[in-house]
Amino acid sequence: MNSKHYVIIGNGVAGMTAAQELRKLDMEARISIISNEDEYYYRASLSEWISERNTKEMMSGRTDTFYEQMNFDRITGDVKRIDPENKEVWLEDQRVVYGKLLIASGATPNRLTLPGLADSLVFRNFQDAAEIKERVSKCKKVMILGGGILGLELAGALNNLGIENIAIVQVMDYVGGPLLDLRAAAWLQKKMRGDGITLFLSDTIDHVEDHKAILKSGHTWEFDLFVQSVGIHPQFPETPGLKVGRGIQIDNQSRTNLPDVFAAGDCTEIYDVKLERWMTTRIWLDGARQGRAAAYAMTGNHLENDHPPFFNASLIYTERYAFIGEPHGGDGENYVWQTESAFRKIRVKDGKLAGALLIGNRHGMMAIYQTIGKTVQEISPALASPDFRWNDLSGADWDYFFF
Amino acid sequence: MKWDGTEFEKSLHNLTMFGLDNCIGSNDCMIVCPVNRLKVNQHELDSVLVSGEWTERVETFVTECIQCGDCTLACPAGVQRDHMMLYMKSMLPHIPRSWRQYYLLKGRQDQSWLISLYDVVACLTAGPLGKHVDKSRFERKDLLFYFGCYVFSPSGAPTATLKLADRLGLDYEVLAGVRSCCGWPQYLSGQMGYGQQMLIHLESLINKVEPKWIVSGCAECYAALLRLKKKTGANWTPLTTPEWLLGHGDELTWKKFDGKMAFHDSCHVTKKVGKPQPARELLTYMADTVELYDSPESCVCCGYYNLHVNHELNDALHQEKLEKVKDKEANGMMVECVTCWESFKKAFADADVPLWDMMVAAESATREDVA
Repeated sequence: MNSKHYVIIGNGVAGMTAAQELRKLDMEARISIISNEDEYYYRASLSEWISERNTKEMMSGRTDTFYEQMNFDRITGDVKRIDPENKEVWLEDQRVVYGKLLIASGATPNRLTLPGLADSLVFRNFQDAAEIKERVSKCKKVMILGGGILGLELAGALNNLGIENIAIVQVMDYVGGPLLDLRAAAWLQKKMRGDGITLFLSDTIDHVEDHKAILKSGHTWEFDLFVQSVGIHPQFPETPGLKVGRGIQIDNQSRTNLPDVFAAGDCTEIYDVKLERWMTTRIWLDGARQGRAAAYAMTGNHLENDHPPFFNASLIYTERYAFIGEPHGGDGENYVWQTESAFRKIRVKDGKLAGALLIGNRHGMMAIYQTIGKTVQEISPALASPDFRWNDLSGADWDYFFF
Repeated sequence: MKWDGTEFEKSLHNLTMFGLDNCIGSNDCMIVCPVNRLKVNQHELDSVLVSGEWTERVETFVTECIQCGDCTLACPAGVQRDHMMLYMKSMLPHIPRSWRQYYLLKGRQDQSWLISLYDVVACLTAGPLGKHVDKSRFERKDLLFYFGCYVFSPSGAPTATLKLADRLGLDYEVLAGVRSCCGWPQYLSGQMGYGQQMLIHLESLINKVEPKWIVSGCAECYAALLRLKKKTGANWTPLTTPEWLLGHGDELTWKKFDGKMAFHDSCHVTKKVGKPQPARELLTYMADTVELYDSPESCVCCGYYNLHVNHELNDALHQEKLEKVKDKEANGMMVECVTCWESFKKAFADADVPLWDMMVAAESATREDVA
């Protein structure tokens, strides 16, 4: 097999972005995508599917004819191991020889194995969502273990569906970390409790008996649906010689320590120079960026993911949020503007805009993203107000409304 | 001016790629879209964007997009779908005929004979405004009224604006005619280079006047001016006509209209620039206002910027608006943008519901004989 056979393991955002970029960079090459899921879909809108805002068709990431148009080969199956010496990917029933390989195999949810939780569900992929959707139509009382972003998103979707008895058990003393800080969490918790959601904070499951959770605090909660949302961990096929920590360790061009083997997305970790430690990748946008960088490196081109400001915008509970740059931190000046329906926090450090957390009202978010790291002329509480005119400050081409 | 003439395209390309990476597939953009009669899904758009293989559905949808920006406001992930649509418009395999017709008279230097002919006819038929049409000599004035292509708007807005300025005893210069087109309509239909050309030409005309304020009653012109100011760091300030007149509100004697008056927000001024207030404040001088929607940002677009590619589609938007106005028992509707006025005029005239450009209304409400 020639070196122009690009093999991608994984059909998520990292794998798909890499495949698309590869096709742009090399019109002739053979590109194969190995996946155990049928098609590329938007994981991040599973909650909207559960709450029936979206249809299955809408979640689909590309059209039926897309793979054909892009001339991608599809291989369905589970990858058992990778043999980097012979450049082979081993599936159950076949071996695929690669020229360059991208591992974008994603992550898998953590699970608590307590007696009594055998029929509990997780919330990660399409099958999980389908199961939740099916069970939820018959259930009245839900318990969600884990008050992270995903757990909150699910709670929001179920609340939108009109399920009244939802409880969240969270080991920390506030929900939504590390996206939220204490003050933002207090705001959200008030809203959630207002919607009738029960929050057990600084608490965890002690034991479960017959669809009844007994918490460490002594509180109990009966449930007919139990969903675990206690984080994810990277998953990747066994690969001799591959340098891994919690995930596959890559550099900012998505290269691993092995020649011709690249990795991108949730299965990886990347060294954070500031924090001086390896950090796993969990964000959709980062997955896309790493996939793109990988495609460049695989074709002998160069695209470095220098450290653009962090940007993540999606749903937390039922609210839209944007998390930009570094809004939380002990130092610098923090400004908060809040109403019943919105929470906005702006952080300025050394006279420069360090970060923003916008929930419920995200006015100016793209202009704020553009302004991260730039000098803020006017340092005052007005910065946090939605009326603050960021466009005048950022002066960039690339702002929210293009002016 | 430091642009190289391609910066629209470059920014748009960056935005589009950022949008592709960031889209999480909620499809909220397509759900809120007021003109998605084909029920196109977001993944169809992105598939075309990536593969370059157009489908008939997507091509039709892209030409029918009105650039209202509802999609961008709806996106949970911060994707600016309206700009991605603009990028797709710039890539369209076929330019609709109605668009080509629309561009025909908009300031193309290579069609200057056509414009010259138009100018001659226009000057003869435009009454007092005639002398300003595509003129080449300007005086230096602090206040510049910029009417561009809409100088002949059947709304009567330019004439009314100048009457108001005269009534206030202001000293001003006027820039009007198709040669000073702002280029925004071309830009909104994906003709980036063309739009850019127009904007550069407009800057050279503005520089002859060296104004402090430029007043425009067209939301697209206003948007173009904002863009121009940002790109060039110019010292002048763009104002919408309501913003300008609001500054003189107390100098005039006003008579109020009977009954309640509805107000239509321009997508550019309200959704994109975020200024729903000045027009509303001005409105309080002349009428009791009734809000048509829960929030100004929820206002449904006039539909102008698919440039008449599908009349039925836009008729439906106008009927929807009329229903709202009737539901709220308003005695009519005011608009702050002449483009919106022109888009709505037929439907409102047919239904015999008054439709006012705010300048025309203000001129009528401050006439001395009625004061």
